[in-house]
Amino acid sequence: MFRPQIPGVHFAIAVVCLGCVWHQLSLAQQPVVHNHLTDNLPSGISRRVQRWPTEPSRGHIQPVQITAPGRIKIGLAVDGTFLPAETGSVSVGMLIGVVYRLQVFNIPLYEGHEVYPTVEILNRLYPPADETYQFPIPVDLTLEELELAIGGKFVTRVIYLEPPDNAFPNQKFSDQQKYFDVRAGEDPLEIANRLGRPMAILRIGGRLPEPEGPSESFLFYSPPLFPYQRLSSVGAPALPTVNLWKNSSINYPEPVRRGGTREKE
Amino acid sequence: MTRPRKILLLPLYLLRCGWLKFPLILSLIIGILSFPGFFSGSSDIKSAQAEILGAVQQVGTRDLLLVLTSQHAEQITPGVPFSSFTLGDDNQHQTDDQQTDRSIRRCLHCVLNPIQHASQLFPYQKTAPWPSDEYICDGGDGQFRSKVKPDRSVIGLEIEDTIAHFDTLDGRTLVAPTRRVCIYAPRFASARKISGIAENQQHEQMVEFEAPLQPSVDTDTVIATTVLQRTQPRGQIGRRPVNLFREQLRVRTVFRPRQIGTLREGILPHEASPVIQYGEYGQAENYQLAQSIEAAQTWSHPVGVQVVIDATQPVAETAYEHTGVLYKLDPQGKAQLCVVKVASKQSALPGDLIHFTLRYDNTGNEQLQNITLLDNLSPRLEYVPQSAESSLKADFSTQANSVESLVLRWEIKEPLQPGQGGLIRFQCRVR
Repeated sequence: MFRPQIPGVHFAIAVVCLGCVWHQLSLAQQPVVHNHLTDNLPSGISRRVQRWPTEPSRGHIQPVQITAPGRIKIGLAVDGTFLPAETGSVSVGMLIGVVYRLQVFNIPLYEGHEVYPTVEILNRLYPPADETYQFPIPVDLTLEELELAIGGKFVTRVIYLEPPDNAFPNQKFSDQQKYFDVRAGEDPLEIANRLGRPMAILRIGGRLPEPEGPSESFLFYSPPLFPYQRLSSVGAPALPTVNLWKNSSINYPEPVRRGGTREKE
Repeated sequence: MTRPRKILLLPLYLLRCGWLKFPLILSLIIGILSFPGFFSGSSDIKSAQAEILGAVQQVGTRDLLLVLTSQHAEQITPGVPFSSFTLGDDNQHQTDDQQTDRSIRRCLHCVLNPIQHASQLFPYQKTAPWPSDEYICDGGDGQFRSKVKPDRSVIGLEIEDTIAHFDTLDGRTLVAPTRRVCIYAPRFASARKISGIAENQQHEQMVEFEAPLQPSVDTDTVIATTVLQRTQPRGQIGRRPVNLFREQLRVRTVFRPRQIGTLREGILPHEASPVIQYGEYGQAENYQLAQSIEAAQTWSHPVGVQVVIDATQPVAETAYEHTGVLYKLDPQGKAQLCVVKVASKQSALPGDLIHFTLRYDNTGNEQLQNITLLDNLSPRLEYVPQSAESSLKADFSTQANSVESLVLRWEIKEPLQPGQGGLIRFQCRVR
């Protein structure tokens, strides 16, 4: 015969409480994200943290387009020195996980000043096979940021790929890349990783070369570059014009092609 | 004894009560077992995922498959491409993109490296556009099925959806989505941080370093495995009669009045197929249509143009390789509307113009009324004003959507007889 008793109610309450505690404990055991990569790390550390780019990125030459406004000149570091600078934009293929040093000068109102930004490619794109060079990663050098660098500031810009379903509806078709300043104390790399896929880090300001010329460590040992001319029409294939890597006298690890074979001289 | 300890002894006390023992203990066991992660199996799966995703950094994806099949063979189907394998958790019924993205999100928690992304997990034999963050898609009916309310308003129309809805003779309203059209158009933004720097002078000095290196002899004996095949070529002359290669063409037994396009610019290059021009599908058009439809997939949201038919859910016959989606109102197939969507480009840069074309045909055997086509544009697409055209008389209107783009709406005025169809064309600019 059924006989209701008060301890049964206590037991039910105890079960519910235990369930709540259990649930909280399970929530507390969610993995905590510790970002190994922050914007405070020196250039090139991301490669060491990532050890080496995995299979799709290994040895991949990612087209990058570096642009600067006006008559600002951009020089690329090859074989321990800077190449003759170009005005406007430079299209070049870069390896992933490698830091490239640039030379920027002829800045309006700052003649005689030189800025040496670095570009570090973090990830790659997967365009259609015949349009690889039509979709480079855009790296824009703005006059404002160059002035800030000359004034002693250090600018870190993390370029990321916007997801299309969460893209900012930009109403103006400007050539200028959309950017925003993160708040003080925030990490732009983490913010970019949260909003999309980080593709490159542009660092402007900071270290200058020695008076006798740029050292190898300053140029990050002149990693290989693959300049190419970007064609205006979409669909036309473009190939690297000069393989500056092979012209270099310094022994660098050669790019590993897919399948593990190394390119021969 | 303190009070908490008494509470802990409460279950033992209750065990003495015979009437309470079974239902309460049973509910307690069910409650404990229902908590996620209780079973050691799920924790094993998660640890296996962490281990596998961690291994991605070390080895290529091909090697990763070997790791998977060797360590967890009972949970993974050998030979399945990486993008589609599952570890037995709740991701089994998701698409490859969702599967990869979720795995990578988990990777962010487990592998401790935020830079590792889906792009580094290359899925072999991938059919859908990948990686999804480099493509703009338009068309289809997304995650939630669109439905038409009695007041003719549509619910469930998500961003990038493109659907058509129409009325049947018996008063029902059906919904038909189009194909999903995708176009490669990555766009970049950047997060900036400006900080001050402190001058730092560092003297680099060589540190003594001693590394006793010993040359080691490494011999590798390779066994010659040359095999000579002594096969003598033999001449072979085919004496087959010519008429064996004669193509036997069947005469079409169905006559359909072809409708010449009445749009302003005639036939555009991406519309040069019988499916778009006349609504006739031929096997020879497979490749070209596949390209155009793939191009259209990139530009819209989840899936493609869609068709909704009143509150009744139509039967959708869909396949990735097929040209259009066939929607049947009932198993007898009396009311059908086939909607195809194509785009003029497969890749585009910001600022480029894209032509979209919608071809709809009444493939059923009854008249369709009040056909309405809706296209909810992606935030990356901006409708070019005055660019909408329709081969049949239609009322065109736009409405702002939630992502600062537009919902395009065509209401076909005249009923569509069986075998008839129409074209709709509009232009968008890539943002």
